[in-house]
Amino acid sequence: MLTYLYCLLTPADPACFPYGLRGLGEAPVRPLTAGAAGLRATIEAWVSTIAEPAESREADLPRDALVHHAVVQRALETGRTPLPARFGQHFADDASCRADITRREMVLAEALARVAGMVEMRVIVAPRHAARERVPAPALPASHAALPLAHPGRRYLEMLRTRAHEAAAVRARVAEQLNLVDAAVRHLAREMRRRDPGSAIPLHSGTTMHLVARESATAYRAALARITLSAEWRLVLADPAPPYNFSDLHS
Amino acid sequence: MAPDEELSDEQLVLGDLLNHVLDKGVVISGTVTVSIAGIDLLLVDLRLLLSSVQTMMARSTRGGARSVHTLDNADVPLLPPDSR
Repeated sequence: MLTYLYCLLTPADPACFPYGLRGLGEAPVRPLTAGAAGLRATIEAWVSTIAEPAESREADLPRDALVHHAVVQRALETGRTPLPARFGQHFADDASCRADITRREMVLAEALARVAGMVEMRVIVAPRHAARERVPAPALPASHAALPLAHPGRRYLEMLRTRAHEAAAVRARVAEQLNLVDAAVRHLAREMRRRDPGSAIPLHSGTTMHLVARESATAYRAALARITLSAEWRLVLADPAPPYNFSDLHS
Repeated sequence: MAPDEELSDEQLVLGDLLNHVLDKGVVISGTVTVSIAGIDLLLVDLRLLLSSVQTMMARSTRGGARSVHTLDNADVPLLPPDSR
């Protein structure tokens, strides 16, 4: 049996724990406290006992990822802000989980303090129509253009060149929209991160993330509502989430 | 899903969320590795995962009215038909 880790929090009264919460494989989620021996616990981990590593259950991976998120989201709803653990992280047993956490206790406590009272707001910028916008690729040098277009190799390379050009054009346009969003909420964000449009889902979209105080969530929404994008773009605001993108450990 | 079909807000948020859950978060032990078919997810474009999510959601809604983005219009160049 393995100990699966969902997230870390600053410890609270055990009575506050949402007993009955289920995690991967319907296993009960339970709190596990850690801290230097002989001292008061400084870190609370939410864990489950699982029979096999998450990565061995490939067919269930998307569902498991969403279950993992649901547990971390529940932790956020306690009023504390958790540090989400990377999906798929497990330990041989509770003792080794506790030992690893304790070994990094100071760094983790510092990271928890950094996100305390905050939530992650994510804004997705996406085109209103998923159809690929055709952007003419720049002309080839005359020496290259002389190659016969009917040749399969030439056509394939032309296709690659056009795709690369289109992708660069889309990235630039998404970045322009994300800049508008960042500018509108900068005064409310303690930190900002951005997901490269090239790796976003779906393609041709981009995400900008902001670490915002819980009490500023309403002001954040209001600031977003004042943004005017061009008609071909839309903004989608996700619910306040645990700070997945702001959980860096400065060790 | 047709390539030109507009994604719903829910689909956008779900796809984006999966990206974050699988790709971000604290690593305590430094040994976390999640893989699909033996390939480290950190090295795989996470878009590949969404076809599985689409299947899952189609099952859960009995008919698949909801779905997430697939590889219909992914940036994966294909060989021209007569070049294969």
